[in-house]
Amino acid sequence: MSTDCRVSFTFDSCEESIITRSVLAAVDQLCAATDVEVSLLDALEVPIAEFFSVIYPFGIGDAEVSVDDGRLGVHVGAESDLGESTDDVLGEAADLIQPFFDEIEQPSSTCIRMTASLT
Amino acid sequence: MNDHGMRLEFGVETNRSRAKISVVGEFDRLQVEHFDRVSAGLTRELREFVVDLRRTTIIDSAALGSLVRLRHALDAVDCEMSVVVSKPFQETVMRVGGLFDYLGVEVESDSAAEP
Amino acid sequence: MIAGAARTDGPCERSFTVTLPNSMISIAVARSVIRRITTFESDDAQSSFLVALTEVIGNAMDEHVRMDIAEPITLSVRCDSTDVVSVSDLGAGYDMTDESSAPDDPTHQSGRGLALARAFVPAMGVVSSDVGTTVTLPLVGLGIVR
Repeated sequence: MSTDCRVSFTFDSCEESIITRSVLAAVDQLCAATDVEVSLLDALEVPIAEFFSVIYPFGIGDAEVSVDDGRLGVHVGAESDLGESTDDVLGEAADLIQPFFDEIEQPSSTCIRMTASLT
Repeated sequence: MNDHGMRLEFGVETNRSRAKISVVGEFDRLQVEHFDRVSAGLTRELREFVVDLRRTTIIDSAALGSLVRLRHALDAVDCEMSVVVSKPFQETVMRVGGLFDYLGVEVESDSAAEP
Repeated sequence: MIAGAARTDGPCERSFTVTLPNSMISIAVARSVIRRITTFESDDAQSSFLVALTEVIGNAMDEHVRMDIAEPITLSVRCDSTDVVSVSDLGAGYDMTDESSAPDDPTHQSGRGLALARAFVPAMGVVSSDVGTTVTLPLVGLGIVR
């Protein structure tokens, strides 16, 4: 049986709340399987929810949650152009999100990916 | 809301001839190996073995298989087994699974299950 | 709105699909997703539905393992006039009626899964062919997605 820890989502006309809660469910369970501190899992919910709140106006078509070698990855595909830089995308929310995710990058103009250490 | 605490816990009580294992949370195929290990360590020199499932939130067919294996092991050492449930879904699992009588299931009131 | 009734606030068609790895963690992920997005009629209704979902996901995974299928299974949630959760696999398909009741011999350690799923979600539907199976679990009577 595969040991891949990767859960992918595609969304069609879903509210932000549905998107956020379903992705958080995947984050919660994939991370819990790594014996990460429960307090860290609790703390991650807020910046992740804020992240989706910031991206939602651009349209969220797909998302992926992965856990690999002690690192959590959250990848979102938007339905419209996100702009030039992650700072532009996140705006004021960057202050809340960046302390938890040590890498935030844009592989393309409609994708944004965050990764965080779980240790 | 988060649910990363919704896995499985065991409580074990023993005296000279009676053991009781209380299962709390999700009793499913992800957890049966753990249950099998815990219960295997308790089956020696017992006359009565009680499995308390009143505080489970999930019982799946793999868990039922685990209980059947336990029953087989207890039969081999002439030990009586009973299973205690309190919630409607727990009773349904036992009845639909055809194990209500075989496992000696007793249905208690839901309030009795509170810790 | 009373859980269990057909939605009366007009159709609000929305859906999403979750691609789950062939790993037992997928059972926990699927349950967690449904638990978080659904308001169940009661704790017992929640447990009942999630037991059915556990069995269906487990069967899909077992089929992929049996046939050495690397592709993931999928969980879909569709919300319009009623809310429906579906699980799809790419297995060889099978006659669900053969497994819709528990084994007659209680000493059997397996064979109860589909009987449990159908007992908890009587409106469960199955479409199966030699290229895969999709099991639908309507939430009607048990909860609503919101």
